[in-house]
Amino acid sequence: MIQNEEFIQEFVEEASSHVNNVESELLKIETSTIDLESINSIFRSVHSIKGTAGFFGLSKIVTLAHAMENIFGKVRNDRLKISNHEIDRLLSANDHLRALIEDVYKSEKVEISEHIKKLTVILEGKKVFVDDEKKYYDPYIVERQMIQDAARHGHHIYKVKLKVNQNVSKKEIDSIGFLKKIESIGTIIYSYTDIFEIYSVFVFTTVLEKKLLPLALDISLENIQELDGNIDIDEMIQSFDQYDELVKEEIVKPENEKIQDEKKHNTSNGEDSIKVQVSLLNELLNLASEMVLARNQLLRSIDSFRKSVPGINPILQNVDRITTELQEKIMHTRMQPIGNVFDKFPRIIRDLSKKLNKSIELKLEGRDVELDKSIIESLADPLTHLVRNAVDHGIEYPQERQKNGKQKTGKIIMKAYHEAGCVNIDIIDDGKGINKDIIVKKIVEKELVNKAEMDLMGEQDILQFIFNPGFSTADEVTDVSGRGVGMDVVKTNIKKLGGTIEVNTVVGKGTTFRLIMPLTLAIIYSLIVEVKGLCFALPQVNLQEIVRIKPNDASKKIEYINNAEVLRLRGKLLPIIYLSDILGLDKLQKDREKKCKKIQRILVLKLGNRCVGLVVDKIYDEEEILVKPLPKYLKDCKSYSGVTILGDGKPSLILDIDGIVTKAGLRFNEEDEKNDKIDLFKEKEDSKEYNNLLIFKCSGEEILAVDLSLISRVEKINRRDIERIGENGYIKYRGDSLRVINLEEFLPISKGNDKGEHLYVIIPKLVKHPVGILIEKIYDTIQTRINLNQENIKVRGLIGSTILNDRIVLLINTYELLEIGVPEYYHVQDSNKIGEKRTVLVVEDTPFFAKVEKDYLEWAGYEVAMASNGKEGLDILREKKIDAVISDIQMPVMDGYTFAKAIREDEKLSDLPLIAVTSMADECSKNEGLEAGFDYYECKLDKENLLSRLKNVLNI
Amino acid sequence: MKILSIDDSSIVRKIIRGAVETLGYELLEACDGIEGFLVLEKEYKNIGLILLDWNMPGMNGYEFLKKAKANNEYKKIPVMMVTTETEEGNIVKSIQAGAENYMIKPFTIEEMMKKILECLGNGC
Amino acid sequence: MSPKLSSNEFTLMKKYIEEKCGISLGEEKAYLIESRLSRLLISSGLSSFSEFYSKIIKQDDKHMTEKIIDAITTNETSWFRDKIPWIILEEVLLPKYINQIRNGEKSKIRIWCAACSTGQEPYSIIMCIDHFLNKNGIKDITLDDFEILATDISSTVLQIAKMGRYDSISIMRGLDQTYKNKYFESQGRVWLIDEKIKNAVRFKAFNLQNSFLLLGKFDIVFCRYVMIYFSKEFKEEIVRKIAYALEDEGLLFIGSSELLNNKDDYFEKNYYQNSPYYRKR
Repeated sequence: MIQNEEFIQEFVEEASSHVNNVESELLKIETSTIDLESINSIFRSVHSIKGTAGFFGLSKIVTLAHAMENIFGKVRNDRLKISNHEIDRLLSANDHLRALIEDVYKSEKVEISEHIKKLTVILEGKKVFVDDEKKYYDPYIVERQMIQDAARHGHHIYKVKLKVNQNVSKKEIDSIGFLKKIESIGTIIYSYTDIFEIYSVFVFTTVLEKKLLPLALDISLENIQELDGNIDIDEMIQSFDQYDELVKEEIVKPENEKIQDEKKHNTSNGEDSIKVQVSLLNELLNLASEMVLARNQLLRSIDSFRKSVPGINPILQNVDRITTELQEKIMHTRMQPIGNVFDKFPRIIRDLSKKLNKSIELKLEGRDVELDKSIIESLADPLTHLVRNAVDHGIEYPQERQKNGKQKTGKIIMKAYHEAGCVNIDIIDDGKGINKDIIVKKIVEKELVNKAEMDLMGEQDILQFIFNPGFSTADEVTDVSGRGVGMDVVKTNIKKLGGTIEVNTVVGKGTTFRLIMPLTLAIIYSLIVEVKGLCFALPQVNLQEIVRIKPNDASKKIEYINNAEVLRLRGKLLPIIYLSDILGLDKLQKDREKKCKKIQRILVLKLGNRCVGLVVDKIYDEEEILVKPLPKYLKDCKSYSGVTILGDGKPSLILDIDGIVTKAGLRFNEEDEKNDKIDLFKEKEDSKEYNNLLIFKCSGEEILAVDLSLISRVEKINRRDIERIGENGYIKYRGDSLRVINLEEFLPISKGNDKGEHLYVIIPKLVKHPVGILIEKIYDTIQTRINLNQENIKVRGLIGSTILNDRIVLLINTYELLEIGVPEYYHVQDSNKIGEKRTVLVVEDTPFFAKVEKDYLEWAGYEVAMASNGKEGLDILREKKIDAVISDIQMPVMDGYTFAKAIREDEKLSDLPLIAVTSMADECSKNEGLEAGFDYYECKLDKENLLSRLKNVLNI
Repeated sequence: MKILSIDDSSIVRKIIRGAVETLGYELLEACDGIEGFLVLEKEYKNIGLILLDWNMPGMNGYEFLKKAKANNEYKKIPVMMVTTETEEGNIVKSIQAGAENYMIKPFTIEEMMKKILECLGNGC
Repeated sequence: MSPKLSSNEFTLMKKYIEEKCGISLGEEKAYLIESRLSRLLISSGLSSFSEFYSKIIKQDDKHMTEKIIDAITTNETSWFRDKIPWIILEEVLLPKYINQIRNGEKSKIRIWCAACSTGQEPYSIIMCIDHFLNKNGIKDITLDDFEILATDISSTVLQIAKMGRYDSISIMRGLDQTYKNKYFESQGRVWLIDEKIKNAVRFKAFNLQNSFLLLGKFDIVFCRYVMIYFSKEFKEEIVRKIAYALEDEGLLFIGSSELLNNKDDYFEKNYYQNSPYYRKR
């Protein structure tokens, strides 16, 4: 008998791959017809296990494999037929075999008689040619005997069905632990746990009364069912797996799943190969990693001698290249195809769908994509979790799917592929999607954020809550809850592996989880950055691009929205974080102001679906760094994920972007390019200036939008909260009564039935008398360039219409709306026509703003001339008498600063009142504007202020 | 002299390697019949014995045996089947097809050494 | 098709094997005969066991007997198998023998391994003795004062034993690290036993059915894990023959799991550390 550790390990690996083969072939013949090729392959595998196990004296494995071999030998020779019922048994025997192999040292002590018994029944062909609807049951002799004994002795028989990991007092407990508990009070007759431990069934006898069991077992009473030991025992035994049997009856046709295996894996490819202990590879990898570091140090320290030592350059290059290659090759030895994890999913899907009575097709793509062995191994749990969730909570029941016009069979795709130096793994289901409203409800219920913040949160912000610890375990009732069970654990695990997780969902269409994993763990590519003289390593996984901002560059600068700094980057707003702030290195606000004058370096980082800009002082080279765990006393610092030694030998902390962002407490704007749902509003053009729109609807079908800068808040209210006084509606708002209006009454939009108990109230900004606008549903907030169409719709209260992804969206003019909605507050007085005979030039490139500004200037009685950039503005100024200029800053051709300077340099125009308007005012640009020659700086949409400023400069 | 082991299990090949090298011979390995023929083609002049697994994916042991024994060059090389107890029918079948000896799995290294010596020494 | 063994034929074969080889086969071993002997049968150009039987009884072929035994027995063996013989050897016997040699009571200590297989047992004995001598700094007595005879029925097995070469797996079975380092030298994955140890053992092919007289008298006989294959009668015969081949007070070591029926007639059962061993009466 061989007791060589290394050989046994090799046996375990070899046998495991055989067991996997048996499983996948069994699943294959279960769904299609039994073909000889599969049977042969299974036979070979179990035979091989038996043969090699013998060398190690592993008699239990030999016996079980032999029993299986006998069956397949008979099937192969056409002396035995097996159907799905037998395949179930064989799969479960194969599972048992796998368990023996995995715990090979204990395998000799494991009981296998139950399986041998069942296999013998199959071998003897007791159930050959049994009709599908006619069921067959083993005479469970032992179980029968135990039940009879129990009944004779007056013991109770109970059946407990549990969702493992949940029912048991919310504490994590495995079925084995629970089994032990039962054994302490009685005798187990039967127990069953599916392999992913969703459900466990235990049948046992005990002298205890039913009411004592919750106490003894720490479970709730409703999980316990007492069985009558005097009824037909066969029937009772049948009922043990009732769950499964029920499913079998209901399913019309066993078209449960089709496994599309792209290609069978080759265990041996004929190349010369030897087996090496993983521990040896790990050591090699460590050494290679250390070597990479030493190489980096060498290159750095010798850098200054490059020129003085002749001939050293090619040598250094050679060392550099060889080291890199060596490291890559060694890393490659640890790579394994992701198929190693993927391959267990056909079985999981099969068992789950059977159990849940769902019909699901699994598609595996990219099985050959390779990842580091340790990552592969650690991926199994998170992936299982995500797939289980997809099956359980994502994919609907067949009837429901049909009702919704979907294929009866749900689809789950697991796809691995390379992207940007990482491996992405998508878990895609075409199920019902995640209902954001339910998440929102939960967030509110749990008071995770206040209402006000809630309204500002985008879809991704909301979805991220499913990864919150304990977010959904609290309540199993809603259909979304399951999505969050342990999702925080999934995220933590993925993060531990240096990966990130994204989620996208479309209600009714499905959900995609995307794991973005580094190829290997030990070495990561990072960018070395400096703040306040300290170096940090920043994982490249997160890095999208580097933006350099020069002072006085109008097109690229940091602006302020609600006191938060943002960078406008190709039309997207990027929240800005100062690394020095987060790390507590720079607390002085003064420094910040100085920064305006300096060149700023901003790293654009991607975090899941979101982006953020991180400001640092200096940026050095990229370096491959070896990750070492954080010392204990730094473990709680969320901003760091590890330590490394840099090329110059200095230790450096590795930044944890997720932690940094969390610490900064950022809210994100949606990055919507990857979001299927937002297709509806997908922008098509790239342009300079954008509007942030709140997209909503009222009771009718029309889609409406309002510019966010016109809104101060959005409140969620209950329909019942609206009080009627006479014709008018009011709600309580901040201790006062707030007048609310229905858009349907003032705008030419359709009026539908009142749906739902909740409404939202938009509270406009920059108005004299606050009035709430009632709306029914908020779709989203998006940032887009508006192509304003003012021709088709000429209605007071509307600025115009625009097309967002083939849907007409009506843009609301809150000023006009309030004038027509509540004329008593906004009645138009003749005295308002102060601007008569005065001409104001509006220089504005964005049609939306141009329109709004023009509207209220005309409303105030001014003549308005329009120009779409500074150059046009100058042309008009030269032709026409203009009393005052209102100009945008950011414009094509000639921007506002240049425009102002040009005016001030022109003798004739030097006294002309100039008012700059921007959508976002910040101190930095304000100073710049004033320096350029503007008299005042105002916010575009602040009608009241702008008009009074105009009045002021014109001395009216 | 070299000995060729054709077996899909790397553990079995490793154990065989122990036996062969302890006897002072060199081992060639192949993991199925097709690879076996590739090795044979190159090395048949040096190969003094073939240890042949019965059950392999691709070309199995029996097919290999029949083909090898049909070849004028290869048929002189003695073949030892490496099988399990349950394949007794196969043992007979392979001996009828020309195999000179057989070994039943599991075996110890010493048993394998003994069998190899028998095959080589006594000409079976 | 495979030759099938009828129960009649099994009885015949069983009887023959018992008579000629001393090997006893239970009913459950029918498959052993069927599978392991079919090769012999086919290579003899026969197609049934009855033909085979009639051929072997007619020819009474010695060579065939050996082959049958070879086919049916296994050669499971290891270094320093079972603890007790080695403890007794070291703690009781060697001190005693050394005294006897020094006193001139004995000129040479003779030890016989009756079924030495691939050599692990006789080499273990020599290593045990050599280690003892070294450990106790004994210089006046050397390995030359000991004669180890190792026999086996199979000449092939002896050929392996004589090489003194062991695979890295074989070397691990039962061999202490100290012994491995001291007495073996590695050459790749092959381990070579020290020449001194190798030369101290005399190997000889021997069938236990033959007379032991020519072998001479022994102080110790190791006859372990070989009689398990034999019939009751043959076992008794061997025990008797071993008793005659032992010096007075000579010892017999059998396998720790083995049972002997007639041993009480020739041996007294002694205990050392609760384990039995047998001293000639």
